Amino acid sequence: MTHKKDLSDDQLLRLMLAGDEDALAQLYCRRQASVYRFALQMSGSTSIAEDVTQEVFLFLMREGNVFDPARGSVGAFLLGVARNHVLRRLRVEHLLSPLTDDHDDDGTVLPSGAELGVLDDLTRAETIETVRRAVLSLPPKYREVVVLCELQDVSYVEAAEILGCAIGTVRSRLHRARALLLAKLRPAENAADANSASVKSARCFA
Amino acid sequence: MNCQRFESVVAELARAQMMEADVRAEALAHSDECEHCLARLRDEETLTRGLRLLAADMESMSAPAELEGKLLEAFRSRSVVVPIAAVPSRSRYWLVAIAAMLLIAMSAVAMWWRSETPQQRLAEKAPASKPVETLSGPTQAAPKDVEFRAGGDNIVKPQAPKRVRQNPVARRTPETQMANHVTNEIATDFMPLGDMSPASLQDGGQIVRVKLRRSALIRFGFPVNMDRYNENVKADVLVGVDGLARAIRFVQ
Repeated sequence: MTHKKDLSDDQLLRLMLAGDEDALAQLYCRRQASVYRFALQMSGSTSIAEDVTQEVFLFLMREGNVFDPARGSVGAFLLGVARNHVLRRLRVEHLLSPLTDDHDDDGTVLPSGAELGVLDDLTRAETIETVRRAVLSLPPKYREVVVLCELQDVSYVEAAEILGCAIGTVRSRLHRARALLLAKLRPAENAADANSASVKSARCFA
Repeated sequence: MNCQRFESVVAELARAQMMEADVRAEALAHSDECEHCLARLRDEETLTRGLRLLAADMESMSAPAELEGKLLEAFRSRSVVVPIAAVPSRSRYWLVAIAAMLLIAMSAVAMWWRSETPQQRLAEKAPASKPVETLSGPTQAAPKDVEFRAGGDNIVKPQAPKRVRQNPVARRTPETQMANHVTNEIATDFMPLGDMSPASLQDGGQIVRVKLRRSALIRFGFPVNMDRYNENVKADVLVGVDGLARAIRFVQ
C-alpha cells in the first residue's frame, strides 16, 4: 500500500473500480476528512456528517465510473456528491429553513481584531461557536459557498465545479454571504447600518 | 479609488486573496483616507479571522474510525455479490424479453380482433351469407339492391347488416360523433355520493348520463349563476353493481 501513496486520486479511483481494496483505503484516507467536515459544517450534525461520508464513498464504489477527469478533480467530485446528499438530508429533516435568530440576539459580538489576540480560551470558544451558528443560520446557497471557500479553503474555480455554477456566481454569493454573516455577528443596533453599507459607500467619494 | 470600487475588493483584501498589487495599494490608500471604508475593512478582517478560527477548530475533525472498516467490508461484499448477481440478471433479461414479445403479439391479436366489427362477425356467423356478400360491395348500385330485396321478402333480416355495411361512413358516423362529443366534453372528477368512500369507486359499475337542475351544483360546492338557476346540467352517475349511486361527475 505504501507505493499507492504516490498515486493520484484519479489513479486510485481507477484501481478501486478495478477491485483494489487498498486503493479505496488510500483514497478514503486522503479524502474522508474534507467530505466529513463539509457535511458537518453544512448540517451542524455529526450523525448527518457520518451518514453523508458513508454515502459518498458507497456511491464512489457503485458509480465511481461516472467521474469525468475533464470536469474536475476527484476531491471536487466527492464534495459535489456530498453536497447533494447533505441537501437531501436537510430537506428530509426540514433543516433547510435558517435557524431562528434567537441565539444571534443574545448580544454576542464578534471581538474586534485587536481583541482577538488577547482573549482567553473561553472567549475563543465562544467566538467559534458564534461564528459556527451564524454560518449554520445562512440560507443553504450562501452557506455552501462560505463552507467551501472560507472553511474548506477551496478555490473559486473548484467551488464553481462543485456547485455547478459560474465562478462569478460563487464570487457574488460569497460576497452576499459575508454581508449576511457580518449583519448576524454585529450588535442589533448596528444591523441596520450594516445592511445599508453599500448605499453609504456610494455616497462617499474620497 | 472610490468607496464603490473599494466595496468590490474589500472582501478579497480582508481575506488576503491574490489581487493586483496596484489595486491592493489603491484600496489600502483609500481606507486610510475614508473612515467608513476603514471600518468596513476592519469588519471584514474580523469576520475572516472568526471564520479562520472556526476552520482551524474543525481542521482535526474527521469521520469515525469504524466507518472505514464498514466501507471496506461493503467493498469486499460488493466484490463477491456482483458476479453472483450477474447470472440471474441474464436469465431475467430473457424472461423479460419473452414476456415483452408475448405482450406485443397479444396486443396485435387484440387490435385485429377489435378492428372487426360485431356486424362482420355476425355476418360471418349468419347462414345467409351469400346475399350479404352480394350486397356488401362498396360500389354496389342502389337499384340492384332494390331489385334483390324485391325478389324475396325472406331476406329482410340480412338487410340490417347490409345497410350498415353498404355505407361504412354512415356506420361509423354515430361512433365518431360520440367520440368527438366525449372528447369535447369537460367533466369534473367523480365525487363520492353520501358516505361512499373514494375507494368504493374502484369497485366498478355503470355510468348513467342524467340531467339535473343547476341548483344541484351548489351541494357539491360549485358556483352557480343565479340567473340560470333553473336550467339543467348534464351529469354522469356511477351506479354500482348493487344498483346504488356511488358517485357523480358534472359534464359540460
